[in-house]
Amino acid sequence: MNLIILLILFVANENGNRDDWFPPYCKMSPKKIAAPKTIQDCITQLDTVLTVEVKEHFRKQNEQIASIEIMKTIGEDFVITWQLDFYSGSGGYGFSSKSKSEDLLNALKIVGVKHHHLILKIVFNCLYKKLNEIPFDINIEVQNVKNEYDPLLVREGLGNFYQSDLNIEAFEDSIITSFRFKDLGIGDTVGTCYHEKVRNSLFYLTGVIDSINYVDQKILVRTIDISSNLRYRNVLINKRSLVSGDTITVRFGDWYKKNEYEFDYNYSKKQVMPEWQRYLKQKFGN
Amino acid sequence: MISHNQRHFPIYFWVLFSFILNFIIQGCANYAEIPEGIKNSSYLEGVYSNEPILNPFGNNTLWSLLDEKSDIKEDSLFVYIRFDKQRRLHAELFKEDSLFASKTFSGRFQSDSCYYAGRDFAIIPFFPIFYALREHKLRFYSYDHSMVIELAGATIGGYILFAVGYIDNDAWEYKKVGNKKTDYLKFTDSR
Repeated sequence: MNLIILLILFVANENGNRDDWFPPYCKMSPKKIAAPKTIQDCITQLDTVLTVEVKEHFRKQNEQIASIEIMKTIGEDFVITWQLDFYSGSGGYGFSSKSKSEDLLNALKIVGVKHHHLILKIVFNCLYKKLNEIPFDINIEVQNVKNEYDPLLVREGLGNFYQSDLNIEAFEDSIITSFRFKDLGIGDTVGTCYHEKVRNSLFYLTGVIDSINYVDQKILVRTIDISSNLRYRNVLINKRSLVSGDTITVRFGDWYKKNEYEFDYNYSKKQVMPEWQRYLKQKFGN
Repeated sequence: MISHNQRHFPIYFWVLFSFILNFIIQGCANYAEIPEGIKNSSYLEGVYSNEPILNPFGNNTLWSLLDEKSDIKEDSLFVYIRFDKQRRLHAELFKEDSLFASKTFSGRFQSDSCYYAGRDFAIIPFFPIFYALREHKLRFYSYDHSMVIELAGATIGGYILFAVGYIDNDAWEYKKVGNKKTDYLKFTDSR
């Protein structure tokens, strides 16, 4: 019996340690990427490793949100691959006393950039400019990112790393929401996927925008369809029971326009609530 | 000093343990809260379209819920549902005069206007070497012109220290074509 258990564990371990596997956004296994010594190394490596589709979509994005979107999806993988978070609080790789990108981290530490998110932001900003053939200076990029993100970093106190991450996330989310908010118009069909905790049910809510508050980034939505996985006809939001036809004021962040797709860098394809988009097409047509 | 025999758990321990696991899994597979505005259980009898009412959460046919092993893929089928005096649910899958399949469920009506079909429960009890538990149960209730079948299920399995499990809780809605079996003709003509 012991032999069988050992055999099962051995097989499971072998499958987990495969070096030839690589994610859909890469052309080769990230384990084969050498440790970068400079920002320029990082840019060159990304240029080599990322697939053509990913680079092409990244290049065509608006400069304001391009690097934020790519970092939100695949950025963390490169933080781990390059061990960039060694000094920012969350790092620590086994018994190793130093990161494999020690030279890069030390060089950036001197100019005051320690947080891995900032390092990645500098790299992707530079890559964006390289792909668009815009001349760039790495030192200026470092300074720009520092100026933009330094106020968000919390350096003192317990849990400073997590608080910094939350601040950065909130800041970047607000940039993306503001960007998406510009394209909204009255009469647009919008929807969201909502989990109602009270009855533990998942809903796809669809509505039409009746009015837009540009100051608070809020929209007044008249619901036209409520679809629940448990076939409820009403949905409870903020202790209010809504049925089809009711109006509700919401922040736009979690709502998406009909036919609005985001490019998911993880899978190299466009997808935002594809089930909902398909359902809308079948029910209401184009 | 503990003798060799005393280290083994007695048989009643395993029986008790199986019962406890049974109760655990029953606790996992729970139905959701009943929606407002559902009709009396007498509305359940009738003919239903086998295709679900459009929703973004998948398109299980009515018959695939009633009979998991069924592999009938034909379109435009209807399901006739009726109850006998023993409160058993009889379901017939048909198209025009052809009967494709039939199935009977034992179950009970409750005061909440729903019909609860008997649960499908399976257990592989060689705990802790290899064990598995699975429970699937169905609840039927009706709206004005449709019937909802809610599936509550739980599956737990594993060996030694490795265990996995998941809980299912979803519902599908089917359009009511009529009360009598022949009412499907009106529906076919109107399409």
